[in-house]
Amino acid sequence: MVTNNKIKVFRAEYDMTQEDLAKKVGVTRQTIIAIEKNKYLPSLELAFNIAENFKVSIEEIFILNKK
Amino acid sequence: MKLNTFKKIKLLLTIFVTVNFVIAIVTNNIYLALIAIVIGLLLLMFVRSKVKDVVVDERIKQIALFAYRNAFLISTVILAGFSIMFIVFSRDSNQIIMETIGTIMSYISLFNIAIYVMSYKYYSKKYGDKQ
Repeated sequence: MVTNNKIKVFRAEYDMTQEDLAKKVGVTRQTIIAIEKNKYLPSLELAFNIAENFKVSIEEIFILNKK
Repeated sequence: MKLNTFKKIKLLLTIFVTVNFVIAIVTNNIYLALIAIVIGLLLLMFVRSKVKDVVVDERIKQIALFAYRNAFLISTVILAGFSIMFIVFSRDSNQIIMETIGTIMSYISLFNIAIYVMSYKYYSKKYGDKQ
């Protein structure tokens, strides 16, 4: 996968469970698990929604590995 | 309704339809199979409308897309392969039934490919090709 993400870190910061985040951004908990484990690359819309939920920009959560 | 409850009900409905389908085949009763399918689908739609959690999201859609693609590829290749085999063997053994089956299978695989091409053109136009 070409990206890493800090969703787990931000979740801990906001004291949110995977279930809470999933409900807020309108996906299943399995999708949040898959994104956190870098097994699934979210769509641009979902990435924006996640970033908006944590009140940060996308770049602060999703990091592109330029390899 | 919670997602887990929905999954359990879906499993029960699948078992219900399958059992009825098997009974319909054993008793040679097509109406039983049709009724079971219709009832199963209606109940599933009703139960699904009661679920408050997200049932299908973008990841599940992507997984389904990959599964559909593999199903299409595998079924088309197998159908085409068998149709060629049937037609070739029927010429050697002079069996008309084998040739007929082979011809039908080749038409089905061509039909599959035609649907794929039409869908591809439709979606490529929808998503920005030649506008």
